[in-house]
Amino acid sequence: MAEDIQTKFKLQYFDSPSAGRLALMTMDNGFDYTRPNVFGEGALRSLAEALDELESQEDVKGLLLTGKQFIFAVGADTSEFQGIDGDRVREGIETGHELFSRITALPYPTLAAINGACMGGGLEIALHCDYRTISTGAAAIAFPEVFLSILPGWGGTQLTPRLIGGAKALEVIVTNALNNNKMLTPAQAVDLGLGDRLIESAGFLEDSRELLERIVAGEETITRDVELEAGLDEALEQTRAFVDNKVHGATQAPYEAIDCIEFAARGGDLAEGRKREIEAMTELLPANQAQAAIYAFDLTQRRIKKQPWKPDVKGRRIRKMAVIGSGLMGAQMGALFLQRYEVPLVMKDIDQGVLDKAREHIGGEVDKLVQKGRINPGKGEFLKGLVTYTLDYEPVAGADFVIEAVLERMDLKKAIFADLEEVLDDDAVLATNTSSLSVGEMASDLEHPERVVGFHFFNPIAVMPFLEIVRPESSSDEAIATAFEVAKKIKKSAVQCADTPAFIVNRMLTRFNGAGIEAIRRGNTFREVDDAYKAMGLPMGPFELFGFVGIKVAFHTAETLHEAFPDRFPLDDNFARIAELDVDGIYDWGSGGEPYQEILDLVEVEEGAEKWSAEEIQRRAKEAAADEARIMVADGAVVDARDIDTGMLLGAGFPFFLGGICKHLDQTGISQEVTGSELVTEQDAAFA
Amino acid sequence: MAELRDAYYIDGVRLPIGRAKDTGYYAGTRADDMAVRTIRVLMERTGIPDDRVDDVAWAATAQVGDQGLTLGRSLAILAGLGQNVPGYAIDRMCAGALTAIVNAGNAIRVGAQDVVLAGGVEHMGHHPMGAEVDPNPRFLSDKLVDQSALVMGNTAENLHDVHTDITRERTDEYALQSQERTGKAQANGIFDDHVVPMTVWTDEGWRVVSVDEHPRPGTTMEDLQALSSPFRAGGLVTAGNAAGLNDGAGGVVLASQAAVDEFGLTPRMKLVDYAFVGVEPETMGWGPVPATEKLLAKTGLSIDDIDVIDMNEAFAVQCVAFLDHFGLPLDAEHVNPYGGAIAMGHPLAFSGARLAMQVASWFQRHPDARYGITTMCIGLGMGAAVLWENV
Repeated sequence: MAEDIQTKFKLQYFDSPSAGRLALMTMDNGFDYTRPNVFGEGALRSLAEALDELESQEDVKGLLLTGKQFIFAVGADTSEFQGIDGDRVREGIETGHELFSRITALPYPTLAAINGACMGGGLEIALHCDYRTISTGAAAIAFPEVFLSILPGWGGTQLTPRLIGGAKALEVIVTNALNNNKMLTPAQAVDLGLGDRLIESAGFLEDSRELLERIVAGEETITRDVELEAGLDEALEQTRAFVDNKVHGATQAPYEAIDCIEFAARGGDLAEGRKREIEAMTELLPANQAQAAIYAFDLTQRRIKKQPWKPDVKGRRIRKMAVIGSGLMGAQMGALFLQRYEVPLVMKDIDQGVLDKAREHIGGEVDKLVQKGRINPGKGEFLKGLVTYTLDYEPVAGADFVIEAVLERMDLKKAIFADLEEVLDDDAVLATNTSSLSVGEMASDLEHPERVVGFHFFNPIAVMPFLEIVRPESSSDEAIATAFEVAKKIKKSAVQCADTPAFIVNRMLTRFNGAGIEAIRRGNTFREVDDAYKAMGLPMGPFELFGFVGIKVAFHTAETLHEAFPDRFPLDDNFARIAELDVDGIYDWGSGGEPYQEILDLVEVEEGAEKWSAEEIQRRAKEAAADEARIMVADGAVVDARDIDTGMLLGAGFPFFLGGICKHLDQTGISQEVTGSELVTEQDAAFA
Repeated sequence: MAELRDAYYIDGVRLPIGRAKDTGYYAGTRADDMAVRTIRVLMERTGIPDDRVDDVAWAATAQVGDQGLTLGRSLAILAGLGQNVPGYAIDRMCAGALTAIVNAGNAIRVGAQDVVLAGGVEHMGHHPMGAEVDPNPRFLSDKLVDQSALVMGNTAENLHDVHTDITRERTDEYALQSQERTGKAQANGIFDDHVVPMTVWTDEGWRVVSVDEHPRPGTTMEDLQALSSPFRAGGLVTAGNAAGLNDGAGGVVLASQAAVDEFGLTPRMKLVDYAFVGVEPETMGWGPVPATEKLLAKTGLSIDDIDVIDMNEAFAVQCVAFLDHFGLPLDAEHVNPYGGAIAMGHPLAFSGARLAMQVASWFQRHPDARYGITTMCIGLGMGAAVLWENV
């Protein structure tokens, strides 16, 4: 590594009038809060040296462990995880256990002053201290390990239940991690018992030190009332069911974590528990799932934030925005733009009724912010007052960024863009939320086609963190840069895609799910197919997904892809017939979740066809995905396979432990078998 | 005119004063964070509910950067006192905190406010003296002041020129006495009741600082005599007989009788009266003399009625001039009994708060004493004197 970002453990001493000599140990990597403290091999060496010094001091009466400004420590250095082998994992985990245990063994009170972000190994080193204070300003407290298909292996699974009981430990370590890596607020962490005191940020270190002084001087004692097994059986049952539903057995980490926590909560021996953690980590970290998760973490937490696709020019300054087509999607966009940009917003439609509903939706979203106390009522009124609802184009004049969200019809969209060009400045940006039409064609008749970009949101807009920015050949760098700046401002992760049919996520999903649709024709049930997909670790199968995105929408995408690539995207007759029905999905969730009878009545099974096994469905789905990914890279739909994975992770909710999809296909040899080589290795360094 | 109420000094705390350099205590600490620390300790010690503070008057000479943004109000927010607590920033150069204190006292005396925090901060490491100001060229072109008036060391040399009987021998002797008195006071724990530790950020990790960084207790007459003047060839003003360049913060709580009763506070002294005067900028060190004379005349007291005087030691020559004027010996025991800025350091706008704290400390140890004066010379030619009464 070019620069030294290893965390150092720095010792200072203070002669307290009331408590005697205190040691202050600061974790500091020498950078500001944008580069948080992490524990790599160098950090562990530094900790060993600091402990050597501390243990040689005879007059120390207490230790305060804290972090550099705004950061405590956010855990192990994941950059050291990539490609790591079992022996090195074992060594690193054992070293951590040994060093952290030496903190616990210090013959005087030790207090971790959690002054900022505290995750994973950072929380574990804190748990090895006798006491913990947490600052009201601490940004994030969590055990994200299970989210990365590993477990808190430096004592986390053993010390957490001992401190707060088994049931709560399951929640913190397993449930929160699998719920999109949910973080605890400082108050929640103290309520749970992870911290002994919640202390105001303004005087945090002083008050923490004074608490330690009182403890050392015997003026204050901290007692805890821990019921190891309270509610444990029920919590174990619930957590296991939750995990099954989330990962369907496709990654072992959450199950291993549950077992380790249960062992500790049942009163298991600490030394034995530590051994179990070491064994589990030695297995888990080098495994495919963790390796894929680390890759996925890098894509979604680091790479996408850099927006490597964004041209090196400044985007247009946005002082006014407009949404054309104020239906369900348009109104959601409007609410988001208004909230993030706080600039005049024009909502246009051809139907007053639709506009009235949009007004209701946007006003309601603003009211929610007021109710939650995020903005004051005056600000709420100000925001509502920024919006113009109109049937005419004139009010759109002067807008800098205009997005259309009308029906998916090329003639309609072209007509709207032509009308817009009449009233807009020449370099105002025109965006389309199309999910399947050619953006380039949409721009082709305009006087300024370079201003048109694709800006493909995922539904529901407020929840989905992702969008695809579609770059037709006609577009200018300024227009694309503007799109990326808008994405950043509205806090969406954006991947760039060429102007190719169905873009990234829908194309890959449609191809991947094709095997499932075909399986129905072979006599498989909808449930069998969905279960086969979910057993790969996916949150839902193809038919459950239909209920989520709408069957008609899914079929429309299939049609688009069929027109473009008929060989790889055959149109299924059953699918076509079902898409004509007016149903909210395949399954009737109102009465037991069985498929609707009218759907079952439509399904035709090929004569003489044999059902596929779950394995067969999975194999076909994965092989199709590998083939499609290779083509998407080759035909330039994406820069490289990482863009596909980023889309699948953020746009389709594919799990981290599959690394999207390409990484998993590489790991399991399917890429090589189907396409001759790995997909993810072909990386364009300019898009790192 | 309505009758004035009494304004009481309730409590005061300051941080250990640091040296204004890269390796000094506060090199890695923000000035506003330093002030916040002292405010939080004051609130905890007095037990006054945070939201019952009526105002925060805070002084800084350089009101930019980490000392900018309407300091008093910023501090109220940063210290978590509550949105309802207002505040303002004050600048009267070296007498900033002293001005904050009398303003706060006045607000109480006229009945407008009941609890006011008043103090000062100066991080001279972050804000080197004069670095961020742009003096109007007319000062010089119109000969409003001599060039030497803008460099404090030169004004001290000028004072020597006027008072030829103040020799280098005498100023060094005074400086030595300051070091000795501060060293002794430190050893006797005199400062323990108002100096509070702070945990500060350094490249070597968090560190707790609790003792003034500036004093040089082992200083000898030979050490002092060996120093030369940086201000003029053959000059008499040296680093040894002048205050240092320092970082410091601290403040006091002033309250009305009503607040004393409501919150169960213990008044320690009463703000009686004060005087500010202007003098020739070229000899600004003379300021304490006319300021004190004016205060005594206003109150009908004589210098003999004053039991203790705490004078800011910007320069030893200015202190000796003051003692000479009032016919006091150089080693007068009741003048700067705990030493002063020559030993402790002088973080400009903050220092007035320290003087008040030391008078309060002295009163506590001398219950029979009645009157005390805090006095300072002020850049650009001013003097300040505040009269306190032991209660």
